[in-house]
Amino acid sequence: MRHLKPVNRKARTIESLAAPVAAAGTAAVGGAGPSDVHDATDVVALQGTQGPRVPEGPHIPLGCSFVFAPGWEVDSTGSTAGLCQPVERDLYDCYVTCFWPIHVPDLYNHAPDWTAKCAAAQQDWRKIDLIFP
Amino acid sequence: MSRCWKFGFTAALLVVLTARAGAQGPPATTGGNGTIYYGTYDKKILVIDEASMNVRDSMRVSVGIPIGLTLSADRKKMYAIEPAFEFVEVFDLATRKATGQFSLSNDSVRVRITNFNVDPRDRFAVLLVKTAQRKSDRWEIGKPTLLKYDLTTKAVTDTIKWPNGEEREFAQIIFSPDGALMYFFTAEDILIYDSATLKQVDRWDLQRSVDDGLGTLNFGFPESLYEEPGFYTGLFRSTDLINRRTLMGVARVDLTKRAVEFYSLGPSEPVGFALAPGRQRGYGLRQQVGNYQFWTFDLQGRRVGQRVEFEGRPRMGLTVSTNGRVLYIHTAGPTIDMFDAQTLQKIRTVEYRADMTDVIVVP
Repeated sequence: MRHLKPVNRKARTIESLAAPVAAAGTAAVGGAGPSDVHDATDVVALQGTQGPRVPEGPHIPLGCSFVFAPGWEVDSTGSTAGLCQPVERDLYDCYVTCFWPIHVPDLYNHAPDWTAKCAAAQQDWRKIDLIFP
Repeated sequence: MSRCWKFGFTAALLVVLTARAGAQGPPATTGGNGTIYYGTYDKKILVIDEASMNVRDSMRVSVGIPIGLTLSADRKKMYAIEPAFEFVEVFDLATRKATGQFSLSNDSVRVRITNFNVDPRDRFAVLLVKTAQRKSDRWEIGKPTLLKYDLTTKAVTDTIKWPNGEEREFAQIIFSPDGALMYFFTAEDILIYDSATLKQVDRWDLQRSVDDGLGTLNFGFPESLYEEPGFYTGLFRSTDLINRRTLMGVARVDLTKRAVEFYSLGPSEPVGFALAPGRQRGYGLRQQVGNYQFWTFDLQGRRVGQRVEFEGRPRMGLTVSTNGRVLYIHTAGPTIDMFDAQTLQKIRTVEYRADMTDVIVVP
């Protein structure tokens, strides 16, 4: 899958993290083209043993936006047992840190008062405001 | 006939009431007579009476959500820092009023305080800061810097040079009980500074104090309100290079005398440690999904006591009550679960109207 192009330095860095194994494989066969080495454009699972690299544990690229610990739908090991019980217990902690920034509002720039109407997410979740960017 | 009936009924009622009074069990276990300061996402610090677990009062935090609470050494003040780490608000605990706030940020530069250590005499604080300056197309982040900040004049008085010029993202700094000395922890040793002149006056090689052949001693110098000032009790971990295993044990360090008492407990396991009042026992939490355990540490007998599984949840915190009879399980959510420290059985769950950010139990 090759629908994404890096447009800034950080994105290029992330792309280069995923590239080295494929590039090494190509170099090992003298640049003659991969035969039994996977194409660098292959989709690589973030977990498991598929693909050209076999990371230990989930492959987490650089950057705060990719932090999955604890997760929202699944935890860092791919299951649900490690999620906060219930998940609302962790809602505000994710808000003040950089976990799951797409799912919770941005405390520092756009939604500093998100918790104003509802200080206990587990109890008053109906009062939690939806924030639209 | 009716009089007899009334007399008999009254007598029977008295008997029943007396029996019920006598059959009532002992009063419910309470945690002591301390005070629990509970930071909330509601921009308040709840003041909770430990005996009843009821909210006695609250302190409004004007700088924002009190993401971190720090108690002064004399236990008379509390410092609350907000999530952007720019503003710190100071509270007087006797009056429960805010007495002021400070920040190093200005319109063009944001200064984030990532570490905050207050002198035991409340004269100054050592801050680890990083600047963030917004440019037209980016943020420029400064290097981590150690500053000495005068709490009375609210001004930076000194910049503290990094040991050997090596900058760090984190810095652990502890003061001696009288505030005269400052201990700066590096990977190799502990550097001792004069807190007035900020000059290094000595160094302490902790490894050599323990045993050359023990392997690297990893000890975090955990602070506890149940310990004497200048003393630190907690778990240490040490890697045995010969047998290729990591051991854990309990250490008690006298920082000013540079003395270490320690003993091993066994193979290292992922468990925390919380000291109980009286320093005879400690408690720990093993937090593994599907395998949550309470551990008890018999500090007098120098051994692990019980290891009891219980129905836990991810992201728990443990604090021992001020009378040592109750264990508080908190963090992540609006509840404090109370467990009996002897039986490790749940007593009850107390629910508050706001999720917790930080908590301090003060005797």
